[in-house]
Amino acid sequence: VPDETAPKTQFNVYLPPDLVRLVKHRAIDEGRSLSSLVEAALADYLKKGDDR
Amino acid sequence: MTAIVTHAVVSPLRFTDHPAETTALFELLGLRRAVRQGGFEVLQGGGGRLSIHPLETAASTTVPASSLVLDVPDVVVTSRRLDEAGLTATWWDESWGRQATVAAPFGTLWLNAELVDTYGFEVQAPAEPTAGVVVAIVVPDLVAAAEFLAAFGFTPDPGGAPDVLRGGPGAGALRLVQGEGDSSVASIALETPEPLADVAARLEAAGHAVTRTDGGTTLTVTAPDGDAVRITRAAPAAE
Repeated sequence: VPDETAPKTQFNVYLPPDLVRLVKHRAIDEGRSLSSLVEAALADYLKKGDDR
Repeated sequence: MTAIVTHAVVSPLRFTDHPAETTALFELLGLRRAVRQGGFEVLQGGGGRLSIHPLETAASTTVPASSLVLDVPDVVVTSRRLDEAGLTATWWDESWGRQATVAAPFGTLWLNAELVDTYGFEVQAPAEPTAGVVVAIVVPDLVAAAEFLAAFGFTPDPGGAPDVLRGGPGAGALRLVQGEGDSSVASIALETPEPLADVAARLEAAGHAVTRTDGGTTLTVTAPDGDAVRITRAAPAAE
């Protein structure tokens, strides 16, 4: 389980521009920061993997 | 230092508990609404622009504050040029675009990309602004700060006050104040080509108390958060 209070670190990855655009738009739709959205998406993905 | 970043625009953020009232005050002073998202507003000036950010959605502060930001056309290109010049810049993605920081002699300078992807934002063609934005920053070393900001195209007017730095057309201005304070806390002032008596009359008609100082060449009005906003007459544009 990610520690919500842990210091954040920058995490650079290469993604298709269209995916980047969709992720950014989703963050705006949900009124949250890009970092918060990506963090939640990755944590959710990893949790689903753990549940299998 | 010669300019290595061109087209930088003074674009401070004002974090406030009273976004609607603060927006209304700066509109009254001559800035014009250009971009909106929820309670977030970008007000365009004749030089520079001002963003009003509701405190309740701010990540960087819990108290009303102002912060200096320069808008640049391309954060990645700017960061690369700064790195090549020996300055330490770091950029990253945000939902609305890209952002960077660069180590400055007075702390950290924030750089925002100009808004290109306007998804989720209400963009308006602003009416003609009548006032320009001047951001005062506290710096420990006036010479080092001026040299650093020259890299962004901000220099004193020829023959003008050495502590006031101007960029290109529409860029706004910076005023350096020597001190050891927190450089992230900037005060926001305006300069207007309007007669100050007209501005004062408009403020007073809207119920604002106006203080006249410096022999009537400076107006001061209190913003909704309690901070003072100074208004001075802009020098006529050079022919």
